[in-house]
Amino acid sequence: MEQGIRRRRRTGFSRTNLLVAGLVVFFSWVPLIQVFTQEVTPDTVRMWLQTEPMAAPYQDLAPSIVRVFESARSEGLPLELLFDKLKEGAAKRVPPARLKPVLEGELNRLLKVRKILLEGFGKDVTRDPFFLQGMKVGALALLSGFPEEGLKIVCTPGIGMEKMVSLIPPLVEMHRIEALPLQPLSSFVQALSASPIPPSQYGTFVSLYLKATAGRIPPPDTLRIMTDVLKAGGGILQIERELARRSRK
Amino acid sequence: MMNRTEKVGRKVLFMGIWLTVFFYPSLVWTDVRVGMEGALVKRDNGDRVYLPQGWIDVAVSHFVSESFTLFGDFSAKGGWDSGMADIPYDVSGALSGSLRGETFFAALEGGLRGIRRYDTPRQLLAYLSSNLSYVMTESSLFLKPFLQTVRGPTDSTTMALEGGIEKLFGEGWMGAFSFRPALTYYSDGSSELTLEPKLTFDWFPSFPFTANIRGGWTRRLRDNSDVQEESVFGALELIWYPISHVILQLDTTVEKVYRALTATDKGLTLESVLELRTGLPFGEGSCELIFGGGYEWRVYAEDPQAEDQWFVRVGIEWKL
Repeated sequence: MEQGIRRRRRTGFSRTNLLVAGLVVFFSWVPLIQVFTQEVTPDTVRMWLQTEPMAAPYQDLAPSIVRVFESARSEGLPLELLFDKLKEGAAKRVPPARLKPVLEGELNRLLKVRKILLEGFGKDVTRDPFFLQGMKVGALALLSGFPEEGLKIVCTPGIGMEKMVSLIPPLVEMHRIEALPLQPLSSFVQALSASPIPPSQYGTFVSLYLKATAGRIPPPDTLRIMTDVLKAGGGILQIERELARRSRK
Repeated sequence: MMNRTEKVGRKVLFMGIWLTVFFYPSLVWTDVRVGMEGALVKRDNGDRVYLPQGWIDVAVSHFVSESFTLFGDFSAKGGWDSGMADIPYDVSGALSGSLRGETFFAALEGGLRGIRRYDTPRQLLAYLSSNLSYVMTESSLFLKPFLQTVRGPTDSTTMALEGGIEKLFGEGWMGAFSFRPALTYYSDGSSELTLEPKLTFDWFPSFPFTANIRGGWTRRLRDNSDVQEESVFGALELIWYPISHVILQLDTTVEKVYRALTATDKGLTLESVLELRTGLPFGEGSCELIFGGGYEWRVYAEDPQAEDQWFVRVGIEWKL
């Protein structure tokens, strides 16, 4: 019986311990989360370059790297994306001589994307919850060779930022398979964003486009078939069947 | 004096010219490709032959409105077959129209094809196919009537009606079930009924890759009563875009055949074709190199000696 009480006491003690430990871990994360989500400034970058072991090869370049961030700040750009690029470059051990041009290239792309977003969605776009994601996918698209004109087509109020963020990655992949003609692309993007197809299924268009390309359908015809099916109220199933009919074996 | 095949051939050619003239003003030249290739083929009789060929493919399309589209495809391929010591050819033309609405899709296609190959001395084929679909949000019901007439070496006429259902499920997955009865009449007075239920799955992920898996069962009945042949088959087709400018396509079929005419004759066939197309860096994708190969292996229960044939091909294609 005594053993039973001891066992119970031990069990009760460990449960309390577990609860306390859980609360300690939870509350210890709160300041950490604040640190991670705080605004990136040139000083944050300077500190990171001084303290981060993987930034050691870039110590000599630190002043010029910080200048790129100061320049971005003077342009009013959020520095998070540029900071991510710096960390990515350091993690990939990019040669020091290449790091600054890489950051400058990213800065130029971010400036172009912000201009396109402002022109497309208006000046309030910077307050949109999807703004940072939009900047990121836009810069990635330009880096992958997606044309600026194509980006302008996707960045229109009729489509909206949330759908735009989901649309750009599949379009970049499609453009990589075979160049997307801009005129039919505009109609396709409008039809897709107006369709009931959820943004989570936009990725399917990458493999549909690949199958159409392998089936020797010219890209303008592929986009036109997709557009017409969507406008007629059809979905992915009908697009696939019409493309399959048109494919040449 | 013209024989029957020549008479039918002339009629079909006349119809083709008439259809082309009728549709020509409403069609726009969209895609013209020319190409040439060299192939080394090992046939099932053991012969190794060289097959240099050239081709031209023309695709035309006209989007009359958002709900009505016209397409045309014309293709001619020919060269030299060192095995038959003659010119093989494959010439075809097809015109099709598609009409779509919110709840329906209708398509009609008519085509002609003339072939001469080592195993087919001369053949002319004309077909008319249609697709009628009732479209719902994530599924559709379809009917595909089909009519085909073949002239040479054995004349025949086939009528078929395929019906089925297609459904979208999950993200990027599609499935279809269909049943296709087909009735063929031969010029010698005999007939054949083919019954084919088929199940198909397609996967369209969000990266450049697609897979098509299909399987079915076929039963052939001679003169509509005696079972002549039964077979089960499975096929897999993959298309992958692994790196820039490269499309890799693999098509594999496995078929197990039971021939009822000779009770012991059972056969297994494995056929696989691989094609790799790579765009050349110059010419902005208008020029592609083609590397391909295929292998077919057959074995019969009554003949332990397996037959096989294979080919390798290297070609180049320009988009004009």
